[in-house]
Amino acid sequence: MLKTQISLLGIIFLAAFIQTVLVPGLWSPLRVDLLLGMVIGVIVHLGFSQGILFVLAASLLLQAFSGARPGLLPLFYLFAFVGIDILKDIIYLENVMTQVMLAAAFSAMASFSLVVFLDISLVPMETIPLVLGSVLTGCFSPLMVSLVGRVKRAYET
Amino acid sequence: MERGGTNKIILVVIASAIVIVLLSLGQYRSLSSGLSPVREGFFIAERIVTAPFRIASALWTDYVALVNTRRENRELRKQLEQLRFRHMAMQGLKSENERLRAMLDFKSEHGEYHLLPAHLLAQDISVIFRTVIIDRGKRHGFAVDTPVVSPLGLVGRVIAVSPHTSQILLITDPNSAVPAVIEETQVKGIVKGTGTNVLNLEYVRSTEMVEVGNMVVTSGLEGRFPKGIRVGQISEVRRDPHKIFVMITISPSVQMSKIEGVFGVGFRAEDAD
Repeated sequence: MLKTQISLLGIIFLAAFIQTVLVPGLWSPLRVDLLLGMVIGVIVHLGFSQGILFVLAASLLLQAFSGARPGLLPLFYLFAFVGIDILKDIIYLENVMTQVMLAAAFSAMASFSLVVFLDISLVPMETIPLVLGSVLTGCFSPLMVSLVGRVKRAYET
Repeated sequence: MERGGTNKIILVVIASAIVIVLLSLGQYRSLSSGLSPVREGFFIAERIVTAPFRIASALWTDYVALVNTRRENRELRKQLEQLRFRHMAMQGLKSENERLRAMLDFKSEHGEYHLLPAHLLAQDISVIFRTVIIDRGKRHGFAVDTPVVSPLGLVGRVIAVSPHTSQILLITDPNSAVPAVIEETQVKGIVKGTGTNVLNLEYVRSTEMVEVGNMVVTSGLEGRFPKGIRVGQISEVRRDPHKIFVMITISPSVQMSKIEGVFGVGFRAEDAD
C-alpha cells in the first residue's frame, strides 16, 4: 500500500511538471488537470480508504503550484473524489467514455464555479482555453486511470 | 574545248547568281522544302549512328551522375536543415540578447534598488489564479512581499518563498491589489487584478480627471512596492452618474503570458513614500 501511494505521488510530481511547465509552454492560458483522472483511477482501482489518503496528499502537493487559497484545491479534489465515489454505484466507471465525460465535467465545473465565485468577467476569447482545458482533461483521464491501475497491479498482485 | 570550258564557267556563275538572287529574295525556304526527305534521311541516319553514344551519355548524365546528384542533394538538404536550425537558434539568441539588454538597461536605470534577477520556472496549476514560480528564493535574497518587476513594468510580489524558488502573485490575479497613481494627474487609486488580462483601477472619484492613455504607476504607499514603477496604461474609462467611483480599466505594461526574465526588488520601505 505504501509503495503504491509513493509511486502515485511520484506520478503527481510528473503531472505537476506537465501541468505547470509543458502545457503552459505550448499555450500560456491552457491548463490540463491530470489529477482528476487519477482521482477516478484510485476510485476504480484502490477503493475509498486508500484513495482518500492519496487525494489529500496529492492535492496538498499541488497546492504548492497554485495561487489558490490554502485548502481550496484539497477541498475541490475531495469533493470530486466523494462525488465520483457516490456516482460509481450509478454509472459504470470502468468505461472509457464515462471517465472522459466525468473528468471533463468536473474540470469545467471547477473552472466555471471559480469564475463565478471570484466574479471574473471573461471575454469570449478567454473561455476558449477553459473549455479546451476541460476537454483535454477528459481526454487524458483514461490514461491516468490506467496508470493508477498499472501501479496497483505492479505492487499489489 | 576552250569554248566549252568557258561556257561551263559562265553557267556556274549564272547559277550561283540565281541562287544568290533567290536567297536574297527569301525564296530559300521554298526551294529547300523539296530537300526535306534528304534531311529526314540524314536525321534518321544520324540518330542511328549516334544512338549508342547518346545512350551512353544519357546513362552517364541521368544515372551515374545522378547518383552524385542525389548524394549532393542529400548533403545540401542536411546543410539546409542545419542552417535553418542555426537560424532558429540565432533568432532565439537575438531575442534573448534583446531581453537581457533590456534587463541590463533597467538595472542601470534603477540603480537605487538592489535588483535580483530571476527566471520563470513554472506557472500556476489553475488558469484562474495568476501566480508563477521563479528560480530564485530565500538564498538569493527573495522574501515574502518582495516586489517583482520586469523591464516593462510591475509583475507582482512574492507570496511564498523556499530556498531556491519563489511564488509570485501576479498583479492580474484577483487577489492582487497595488496602490497606484495616475502619472499625469497624480490621482491615487488601487489597481486590482481581475483574473483576466486586464486590471481595474478602483477608488478613483468620478470628479477626477482621468483619460484613456494615461499611465498608471505604483504610488509607493503602503511601502510594499517601490514608487514610480509602471503598472499599465488606462484603456477604458466608464462613468456612471449614480456611482461615486469611476470604472477604470488598465492594460498592464507587462504581458504576463510572455514574461521570462524578472527582477526581485530589494528596497527599504523608507524608499517608498
